[in-house]
Amino acid sequence: MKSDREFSILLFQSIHQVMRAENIISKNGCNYQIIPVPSEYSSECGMCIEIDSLNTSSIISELQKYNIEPKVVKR
Amino acid sequence: MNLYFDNSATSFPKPPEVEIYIREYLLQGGTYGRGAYNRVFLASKRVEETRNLISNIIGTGLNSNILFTFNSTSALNTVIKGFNYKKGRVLISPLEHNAVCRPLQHLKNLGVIEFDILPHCSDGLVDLISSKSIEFDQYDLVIVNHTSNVNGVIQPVSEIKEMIGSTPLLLDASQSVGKTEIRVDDWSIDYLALTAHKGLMGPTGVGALFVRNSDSLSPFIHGGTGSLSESFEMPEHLPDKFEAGTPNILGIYGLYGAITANTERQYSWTSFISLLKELNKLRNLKLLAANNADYQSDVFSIKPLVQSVSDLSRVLYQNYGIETRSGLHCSPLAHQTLGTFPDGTVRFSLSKYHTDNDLEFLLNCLVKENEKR
Repeated sequence: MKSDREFSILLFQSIHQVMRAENIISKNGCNYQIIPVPSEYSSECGMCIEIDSLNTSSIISELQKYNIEPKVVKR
Repeated sequence: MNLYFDNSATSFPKPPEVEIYIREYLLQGGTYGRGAYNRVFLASKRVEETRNLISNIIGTGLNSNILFTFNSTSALNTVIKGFNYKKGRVLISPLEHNAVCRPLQHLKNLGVIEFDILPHCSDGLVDLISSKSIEFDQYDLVIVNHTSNVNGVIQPVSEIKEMIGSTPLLLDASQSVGKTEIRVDDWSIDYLALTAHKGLMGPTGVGALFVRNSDSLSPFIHGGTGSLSESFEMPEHLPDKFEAGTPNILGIYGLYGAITANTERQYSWTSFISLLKELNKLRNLKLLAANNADYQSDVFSIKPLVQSVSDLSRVLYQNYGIETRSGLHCSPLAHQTLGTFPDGTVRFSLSKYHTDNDLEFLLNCLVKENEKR
């Protein structure tokens, strides 16, 4: 059965940024998943972070405090 | 008893945590980025944690500007060969290692630069008073070896940077990191090169470069980064711009273990300074150390006056098991500065694992050899 939940995907410039962001998100207690970068968004072979869409704005503003500006796409 | 006195070449023994974390990586595996399964995530996280530890050690909040290299030499080459020279002049401190002098000489041979040496005192300490007359804005870059690998002189980096003003400073921290305070942000250091296997007591094959302004350098090595893969151009963002190819993850795990071990020095600094004072009294051996103990690190040299340096090094090993390094220590410029070129010296470099008893034993052996002559 298809889930009704919507997810946001956070795409980063580098693995360094992914790890910095993961550290911040995990400390904030939000649910997230490390997933391969979906090929429809990038040809990267690395990782990105999937979060619950409801948490997107709070996570983004938290990351901005650390000068981390991911690209956000909805799924 | 610890008779290994060649820690400036590479530290030994290592903290037990080095083996623990290297073993952890060997059993776990995984590369840095370039995938999204747990093995990769764990390895990447450890690499980034180690990057953060290095930024704390050298005193910078710019952890993205810490770039992993394979040693200090590759870090120094990245700056020296990637720098955009406009004036064609570089100024260096008088106790430089060949990791600096050889890439500079290479550029000189190509007609890219000329290099000059800062005025200095008899022990190679930069003479700040004589240096004041230098027009530093005529130079593209100033390079300073923080701690000499020959006589252990620690250069007054903060004062040097203050003196040279806006001219960029490249600090070679190969011998100082892990031993001497470094405050990259407070001192406004532009570039810093370090290695894992000396003062930090990690494994060989890992180094790091701090770059304050990444636009000032072109990459030294080009290749895959796991980012912007659709392009033949190197990414402009840090750290990827300077981290082509898979890093030495095994070594980085070992370095993580070395840093988190937080090893305390077991001998007292007073005992070390007393050792130098006693050695200075021996008539057949000339001590090479800082003129002022405030500028002394845990490295010093001895020039035997009635035998060759290789003979003294051999006798110390054969008769007492003391391991040292004799010769020029890849630092011909330092030995020219100190008047010990071309024969060099016998070098003694300590570890945090040495004890006061080890220092006493060393002194007794050198006294005994001095009396034989």
